Amino acid sequence: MKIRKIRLTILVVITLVLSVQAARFILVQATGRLFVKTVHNRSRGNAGAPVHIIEYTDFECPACAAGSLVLDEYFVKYPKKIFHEYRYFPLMVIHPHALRAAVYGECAARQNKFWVYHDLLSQRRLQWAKSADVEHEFRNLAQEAGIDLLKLGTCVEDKQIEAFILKQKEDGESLGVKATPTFFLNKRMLVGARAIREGLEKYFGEKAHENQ
Amino acid sequence: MKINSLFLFIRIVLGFIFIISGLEKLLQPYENFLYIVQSYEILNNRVLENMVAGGFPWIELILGTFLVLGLWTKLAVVGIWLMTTSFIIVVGQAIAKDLPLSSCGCFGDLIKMPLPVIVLMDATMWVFLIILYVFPGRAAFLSLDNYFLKKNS
Repeated sequence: MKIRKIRLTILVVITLVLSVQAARFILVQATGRLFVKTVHNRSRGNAGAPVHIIEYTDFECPACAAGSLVLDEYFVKYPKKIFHEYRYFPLMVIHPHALRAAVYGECAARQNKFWVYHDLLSQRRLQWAKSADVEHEFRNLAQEAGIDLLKLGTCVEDKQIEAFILKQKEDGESLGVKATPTFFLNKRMLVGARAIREGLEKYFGEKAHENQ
Repeated sequence: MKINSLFLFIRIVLGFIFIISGLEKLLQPYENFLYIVQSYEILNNRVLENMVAGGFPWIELILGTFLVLGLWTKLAVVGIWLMTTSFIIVVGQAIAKDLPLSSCGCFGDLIKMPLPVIVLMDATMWVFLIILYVFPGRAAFLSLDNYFLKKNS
């Protein structure tokens, strides 16, 4: 009888493992299109580079600023070997200005000023995130980035921009993104600034970071 | 009979909590749970963090299923009790250290609760698991363990 019980136990475990693996397989198949390398005004680097990084991020998140610095560092080191795509993932529940920041970011992108604006938003995050008039802060930064404020004003009121950002977030969720920053380094998911540093160190065969 | 039904209800509810918790983590990329494990700043070792992130959800799913089915009930109760104890310690130290965690990450996006509420919930489960352990006969009501025991005798 004990043998029958052990057999049943093995059967239960195998069924669980196979069911989970089948569900995972179906989920992965459904999201393959999201990894296609695309050159757009929120991408940078060499499109033919061997390293393809997709970053799901939020302008108001402190860890994202740290992750951004890691990528900048590697862009300086390996300018021809990395292709980076920025995708919006505003966490509105914990970051009240994240969606508006993304809207301004996207409007800057539509004037081909995304990266300048991105850097300003990252560097001045503490300033604008605590401001009582965040829209004013965003416009000031836009002016500093050399963005046409008239066009920007129309763009940031366009509901389609917000819908585009939320769709991108939805796509991220279908890839399993929950937190920011989440990176996909050649389709391999890495969550957090520490993880992307380790992933890049590993890829480029650098000495591994301290095991902390 | 009524008490036995109550025990069965507790066993199934506890089992399902762990099945859902395990499934939620297993059906999303394991890196999300790895990030949560790292956020607790308790292991600080790559290998251990990977082992916990990779193994814990499977243990939750398997032991939860065993508890619902009443298969190796005592073993499942002890295993889940140990996990619950470790959750209380880990979440407790996060509260003590005032770590910037908005939720515990126990159920992914399904249920988000503040850390003190999670400790309270874990403590309640912890007590129920002890009750199941202390009364193994009642805990095994309508279980596969009982079925095999009856077949054997």
